[in-house]
Amino acid sequence: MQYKRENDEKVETDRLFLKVLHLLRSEIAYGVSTLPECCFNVSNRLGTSGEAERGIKQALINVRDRMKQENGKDFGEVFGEEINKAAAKISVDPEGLEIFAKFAENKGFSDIEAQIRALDLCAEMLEERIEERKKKNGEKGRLAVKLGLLGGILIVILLI
Amino acid sequence: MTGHGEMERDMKWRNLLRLFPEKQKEKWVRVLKQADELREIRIRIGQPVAIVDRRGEIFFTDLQNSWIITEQEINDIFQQICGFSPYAYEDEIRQGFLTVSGGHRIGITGRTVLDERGKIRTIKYVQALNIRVSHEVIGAADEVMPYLYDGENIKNTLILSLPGVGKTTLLRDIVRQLSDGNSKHCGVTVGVVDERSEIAACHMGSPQNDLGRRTDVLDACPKAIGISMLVRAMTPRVIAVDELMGKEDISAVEEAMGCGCSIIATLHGKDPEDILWKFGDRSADWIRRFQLFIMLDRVGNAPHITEIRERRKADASFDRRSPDPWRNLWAGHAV
Repeated sequence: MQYKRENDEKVETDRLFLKVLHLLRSEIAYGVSTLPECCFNVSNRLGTSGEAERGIKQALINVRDRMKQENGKDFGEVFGEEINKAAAKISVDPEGLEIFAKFAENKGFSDIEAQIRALDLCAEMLEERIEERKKKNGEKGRLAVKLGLLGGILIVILLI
Repeated sequence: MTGHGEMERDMKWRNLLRLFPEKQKEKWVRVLKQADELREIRIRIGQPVAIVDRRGEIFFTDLQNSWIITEQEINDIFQQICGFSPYAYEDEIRQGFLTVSGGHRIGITGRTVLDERGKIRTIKYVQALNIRVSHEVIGAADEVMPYLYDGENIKNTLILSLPGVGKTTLLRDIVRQLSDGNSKHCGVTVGVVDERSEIAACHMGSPQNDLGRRTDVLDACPKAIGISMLVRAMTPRVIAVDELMGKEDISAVEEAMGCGCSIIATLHGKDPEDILWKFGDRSADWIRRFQLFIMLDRVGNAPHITEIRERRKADASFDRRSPDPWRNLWAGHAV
């Protein structure tokens, strides 16, 4: 049960990352804001219901603030640091996190279409990862139930 | 005073240093320390860093300070300037410059990419950057302000000079003073169409220069469209525009004058004769509607108002064939 809950949480975090990517996409496409500004605008649209959402929201605010204050720092570097800091406090799928953080490495495009395409690519990879994880969770969940059942039967046999 | 001056310089430095990547900061601090009233920083691939200051152009070539810019270095600066998002500055890059926080303007050259209609789509392989340090000169227009008023009306005014002399600096201060008013005249609503973001130096919508409390800025908007927009939407008493260029600009200016707005505009040219050369005979029709001409030149390294000419009468005739076609139109006030 513990295993299943943890996995479900990880899938939820991946979904949150995906949501952030989609929001960033609209910010870039319609707001034509810079990446640090996009992060801040997206943070305004995130809720404060869950621990993960709160953490990511704060991380995105920090990215914008740090880019303003610590002049000269690389966006990818700052984004990676803040997201990793937030991820350390929540249940996160390391591969999902890696894909999400990759978005900040794919920066510096002169063409808005290219920037959006790079973001879409990360979103697609994340979607695939979520599907894969859900499938694995299902399989492992069933296996865990079966093993539990077999263990129970074994104990009953031993007791008899 | 010294303390204040130093503080002001520190602020300017901080503003400038934020344009450069962290790994280059030390070098830039060294460069900036040697500048005296910095005006421009010129960065070109494979060439030494150059600055233009009060003393003129200085190349960093001596053994101690030699710094030849590499392709990687210029790319890093470009990314930093764009906030790692060049796509967000697509329109500005297309025009060859962008304005950053602090009002500094950065000119870009490199390889242009054209679209199917032959228009510039973007600039890739950035080859050179020219950082024009913003220098808002409060009080630059003190000398010309008395000539601008005709009772409570404001004269249609044209500022003329060669590029880089200080037209925009003068226009900016005129706007500020008209907007804020003074002991003799009340402030008026001024609309600014800042096509190249030079007057207000807007960064993400907020003006970086002081344009007065009654000024509305339409940033990065083509002048011809912006002038009519302002007339309809903001009812300005005065409209200020920089660098009048084509037929459309002139029509828009005439239209605004017809609506009762006063125009303060700048134009590239040494003197009014240059306008004739640039716009041909048709210039006579619209130029007659301007009442005041201010001509600037550079004396040494400082901008200087060389002449102020005022129109003598509204119905003055204009004859291009006469030896001095402007004689009937203007009376000169030597300054």
